[in-house]
Amino acid sequence: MRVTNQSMSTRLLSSIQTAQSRLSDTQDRVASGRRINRPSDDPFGTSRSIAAHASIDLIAQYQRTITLARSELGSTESVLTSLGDVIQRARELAVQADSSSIDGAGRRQIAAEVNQLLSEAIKLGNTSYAGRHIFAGQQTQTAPFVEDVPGQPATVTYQGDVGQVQREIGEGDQVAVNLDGDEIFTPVFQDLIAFRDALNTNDMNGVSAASGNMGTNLDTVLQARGEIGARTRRLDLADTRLGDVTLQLQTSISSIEDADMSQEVVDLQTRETALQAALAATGRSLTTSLLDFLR
Amino acid sequence: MGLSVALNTAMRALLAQQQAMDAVSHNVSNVNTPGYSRQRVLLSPVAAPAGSGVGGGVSFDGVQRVRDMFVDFQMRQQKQTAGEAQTRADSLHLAELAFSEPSDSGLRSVMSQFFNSWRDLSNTPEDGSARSAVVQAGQTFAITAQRLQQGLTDLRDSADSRLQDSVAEMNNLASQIAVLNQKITSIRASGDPGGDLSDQRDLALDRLSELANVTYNEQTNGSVDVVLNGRSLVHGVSAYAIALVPNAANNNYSDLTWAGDGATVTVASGEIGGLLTQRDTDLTSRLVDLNTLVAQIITDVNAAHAAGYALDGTTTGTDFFSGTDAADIDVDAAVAANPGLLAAATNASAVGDGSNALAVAALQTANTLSSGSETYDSFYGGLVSRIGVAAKDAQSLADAQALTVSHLEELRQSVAGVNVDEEMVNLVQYQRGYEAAARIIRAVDEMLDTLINRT
Repeated sequence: MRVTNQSMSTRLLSSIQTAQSRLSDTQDRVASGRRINRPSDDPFGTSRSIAAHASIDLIAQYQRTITLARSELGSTESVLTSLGDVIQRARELAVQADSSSIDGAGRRQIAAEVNQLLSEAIKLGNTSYAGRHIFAGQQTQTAPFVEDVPGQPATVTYQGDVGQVQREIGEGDQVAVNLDGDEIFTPVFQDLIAFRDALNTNDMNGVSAASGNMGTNLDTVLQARGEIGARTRRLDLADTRLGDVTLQLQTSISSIEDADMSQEVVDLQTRETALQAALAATGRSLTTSLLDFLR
Repeated sequence: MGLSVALNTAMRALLAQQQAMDAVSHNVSNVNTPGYSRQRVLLSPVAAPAGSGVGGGVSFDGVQRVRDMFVDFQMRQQKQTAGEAQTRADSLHLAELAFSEPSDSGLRSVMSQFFNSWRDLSNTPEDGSARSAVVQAGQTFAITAQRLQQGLTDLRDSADSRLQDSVAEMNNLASQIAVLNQKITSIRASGDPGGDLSDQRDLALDRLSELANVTYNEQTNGSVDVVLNGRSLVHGVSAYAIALVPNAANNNYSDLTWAGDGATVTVASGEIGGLLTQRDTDLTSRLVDLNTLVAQIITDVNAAHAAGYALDGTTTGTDFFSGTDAADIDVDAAVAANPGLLAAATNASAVGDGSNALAVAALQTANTLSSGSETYDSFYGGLVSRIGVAAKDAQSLADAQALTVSHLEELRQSVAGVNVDEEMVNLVQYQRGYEAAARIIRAVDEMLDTLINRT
């Protein structure tokens, strides 16, 4: 083909530009460390990466919620442990009081201690964690247990509800972090009040019933603790599973988005060489002319 | 044959070589002139007069423009597609930059933060800071959606204003061609081929072909008729202008019409075609997608929100978002002023109930779009990927066309372009011819001297 001065410089210029733009693409990828710097670099990869990022954000949220739920269940557990201690002490007192060696005055002394245990139990029922009453159902801003006579209650009224406080730990996967306070505490209060009154009135039938009642209450508390333990294990399982999924997602995001550095660096060098070659060719071609030889 | 005849022949040769050298000089001068076609000198032998055996020397028959019309035609065809693809690629690249994906700052991330703020609220519905966080995240989402909508609209605006420039340029080129037609026909009538004027007109045709899908036709008198969309843009010495008429139904963007009678002009390719496609199709369909997504989120969130109860335990039925799509979405003014109105609870009078906040958050993973087959995230991923595909396709088409055009340009140059070395060889050749003719004159002179003074 006939070559002309314009076509030669145009072609040389376009080779230089091609070499420069290819070099600049590689430089972008090496500098950012990313294969995809905008959607057109890999449209399908971008949409997969968007989906993976959304899942990771969602899972991070579930994991935060799991941490919160674990501490909520932990605080419920420790309240139940203390309540168990209170009931245990009441049962010991019941055994002690149900003896012929103790007279009415002795029983009234024991009654005073039982009343203390009752106050302690009510305080436990009104425990709040992070500003929420944990045994009040969904009425978290209301102390659930109210004494008719403060310090010497004849009845304790439950002001909460039976609502469950749910925590979302996965898509469509919820765990309740509260227990029904009415179910656990109200029988304990009733039995402690009955025991105290029986001691005060020296009602031996009432006193001998107390030990058995306390045993029943202890069983209820143990069952509740078992329930809390089961829920905590569910949280642990979910946490581990979410951690695994996050790892998979991160691996897949990295394979979609990240540049293969060793490959890119090799490309960078190849393309630098190509640009230098184009520049050298231009430098030589443009200086050659017949005019140099016509003297 | 007399000596004076020989002198005459030699003089004609002198003149012919001189004119040929003028042509070389013209070619060399225009070595870098865009659109210039090299000119070739036409020399022919003068036939012998009747009865004489020897010819009458050389005759200078003018210059001829060297040009391959077929390559011109090919190139103009390819330039239309190249212009269209590059224009679209440029604007789609800007559009994908507006989305800034994949990253942690795009709408996707803002959307995740918004729904996660509802999950936080469901964990602590009594907490004022969790409520404020939901309002904040809602506002960030609204602003980001609005900004994207604005970004795409700005790109449409800029396509429209570039369209105005391109149409003005097209009208200008059409008038230029009409004027050149007039000059060329009159100069040809006087016998001059008008090569340089043809070059100017070819340059105008090249550019016109980049702008729109025109076809053209050279007439026998030398003028060129240009047809756009089945009607004459240039006919002989008349150019017909294209007018821009704002269309109220299309954002007041301009429609193209014939200035003469107001009939619609359809431009399918070239830069103008590309600008129309991006303004009315590429960007518009992504705007429609964005508005579909945002409108669905507004409707869904509002419906779920209205079902719940506010912190006071009694207020229900309130909206969370105001507005209808990405253009005007915002957090409802009453809710923004009083985050206590956020309906976190499903049950009335249950301050610790966060299950309605969870119901709002659950919308994120529900298949509510594309007839119940896509979540917000997957729909948005599809939207971004469609922009990416369009940008990538337009760019690779533009690259391929640019390559074809540059090959054709090279082909054209190889026919029509000036090669200085070649011209130098011609120069030496004509110089030697001139010297030889001068030598003949000297020889004839010596012969005359011998004849007159020595006999």
